Amino acid sequence: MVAKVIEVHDLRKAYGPVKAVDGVSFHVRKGEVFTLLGPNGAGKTTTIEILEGLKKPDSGRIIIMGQECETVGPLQKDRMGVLLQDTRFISRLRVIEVLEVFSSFFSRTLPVETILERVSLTEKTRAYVEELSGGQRQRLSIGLALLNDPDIIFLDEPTTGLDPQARRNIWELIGSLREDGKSVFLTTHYMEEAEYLSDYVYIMDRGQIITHGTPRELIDQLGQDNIIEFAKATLSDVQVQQLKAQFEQISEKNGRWLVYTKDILVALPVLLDWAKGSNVVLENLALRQPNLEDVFLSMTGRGLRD
Amino acid sequence: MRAARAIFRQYLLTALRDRFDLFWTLVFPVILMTILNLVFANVGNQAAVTMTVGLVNLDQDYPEGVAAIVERTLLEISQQETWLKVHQSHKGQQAELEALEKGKRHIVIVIPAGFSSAVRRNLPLAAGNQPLIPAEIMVYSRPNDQLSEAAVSAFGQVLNGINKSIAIEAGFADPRMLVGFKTCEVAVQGRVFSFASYIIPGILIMNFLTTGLSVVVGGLLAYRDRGVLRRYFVTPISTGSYFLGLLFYFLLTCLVRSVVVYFFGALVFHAKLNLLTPAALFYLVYAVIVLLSFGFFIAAAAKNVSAGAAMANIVTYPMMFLGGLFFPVLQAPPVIRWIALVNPVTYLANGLRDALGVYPSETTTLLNVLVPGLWLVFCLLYSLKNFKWEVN
Repeated sequence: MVAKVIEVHDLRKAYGPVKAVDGVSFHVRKGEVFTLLGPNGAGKTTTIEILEGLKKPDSGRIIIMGQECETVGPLQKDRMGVLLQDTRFISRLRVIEVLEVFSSFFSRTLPVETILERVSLTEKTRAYVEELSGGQRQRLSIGLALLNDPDIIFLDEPTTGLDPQARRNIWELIGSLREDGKSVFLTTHYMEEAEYLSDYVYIMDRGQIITHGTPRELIDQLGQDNIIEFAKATLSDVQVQQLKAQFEQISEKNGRWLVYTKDILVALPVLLDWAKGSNVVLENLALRQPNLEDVFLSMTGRGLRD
Repeated sequence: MRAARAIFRQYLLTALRDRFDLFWTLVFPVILMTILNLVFANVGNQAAVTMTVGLVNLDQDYPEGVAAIVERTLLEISQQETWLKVHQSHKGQQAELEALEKGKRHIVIVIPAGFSSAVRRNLPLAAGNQPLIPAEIMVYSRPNDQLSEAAVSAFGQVLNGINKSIAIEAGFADPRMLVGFKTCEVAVQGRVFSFASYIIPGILIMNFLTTGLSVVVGGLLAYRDRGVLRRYFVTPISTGSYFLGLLFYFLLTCLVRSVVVYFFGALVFHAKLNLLTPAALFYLVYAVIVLLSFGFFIAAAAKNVSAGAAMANIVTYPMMFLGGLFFPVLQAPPVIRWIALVNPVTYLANGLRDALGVYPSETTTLLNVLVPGLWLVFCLLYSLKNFKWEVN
């Protein structure tokens, strides 16, 4: 049985009347990429910041590497690596100086040259932080998270705001961490990121865990193999009723209609006939397989990025 | 300690790369000392104060009479001393009084017509049994003007001298019987100090104070507001280690500043200070630590940079101006004196001036150490307990 590096039971945190984290329980197994997926405001960042020691929970049990703790303190932090959602640096320091400063805070550290190589910043060793691009700064932030050769690495929305190439580079880096046997705690609101990187996913909404499983398990929960998607800003109530009568499951998100089906060869002709009969133009018609976004949509009626 | 060393290095590197920071650290104290020296170094010297006196002599009856003696005496003093400037009026009493009203004279002396005759009438041989009518000189002065009051007093001294001469000449007094006095200036505890020597401890403490309150508060709170400090808090570093690193950094910069000010003062203004004594070094280090702790206190109490800046201003000015840095405060009115008595700067300034050999402390060594020490403990405990690494 794989050891649990993090266990959380009935975690709660409120800001006045707002319950940011409302009785959350989960565990992270050693060597897996664990993802907390949810829209903005779901409570992901509050949860991860409690585990990073940035915030104190109102109640709940936290067990990190077998040790129960009321709040996360220096002992736990010594074995953690953290990438904050938004890391700010002192701009007049060089890349190597930032790494040297932070390496002095831990009892055990890797050589900074190793870290620079790992995050592909060797050429920027002597550069000032203010001279780095957004992607390079994010890689430096990840470098800081790896400095102490941590057992658990927290990555809070690591690719938010990055261009596709920089995002792909970060994904590769996270993939290599998994290969090294590190436990990665990831939060994201990008379903493709969660799907690509995660071993196990907890989906969070409004402070609560609404479902969990491997990405495949979650998608299989939908019970549909295919989705036919088309754009149509508005359909009349009659037209919607007609669609619902002919298909097991439909939903609408931002003017795009999703028709879920097990057999696309049967469903597609039915949809086209309906469109012709109802005088509806199916714009941007697309066929695809369901993803985690669809799981969230089917459970909440909202999209991850709404 | 490793973490504190790293924080020290981090602040040092950023400071060395910031010209503005270097200016405030090294150049500004020297500029301030130069300005203060140029402005205040001559205060108290005769050359710095000039009393302007308008003289109207309306008594022209006796060319060698007492009126002429008074006039000649004043003119002679005016020629010999730079602090007195006598204007003999050619336009009359009214013009001089107008000049007084406009602030061009500190006093106007009017010797009335018949003054010398009146003096002569009062002499024993002339007076006989006639009643004495005092001969009077009119002195016009400006209200609420210290120099005007001083000029009246000085003229009174001149007249006393003249009266004494008249009394001796008239046979009323024997010079040997008159009581006189001599003056002798005694250097404090055998040490003579220049103005530069006096203000250097004040400049240093003021600099430590503004550094401790403004720069540290601004730096710490600015880093916190920008979200820089959050990254530190997710590592095992403690608030104490971070503060210790910051303290090392400011201790170094403050000591460098002290050395720069010391040598500049010695070379340019001939200030003589015993900087390299254990007591002086102790007070320098102690002042830095105590005043920085006020910065940490405000950093812990303020919610953001703006609040921190406002609190720093509220604390800085009373501490600076009611701490005896620029003028004595322990003899001030009760309210100010009480503020001075609880103000750690009062004791740090007294202790430092004493240790540097400038002026003996008005307060005991025990108080000079104890009062700032109590503030230090309070500020450190409060800040270590309440300092937040991120904006709520």
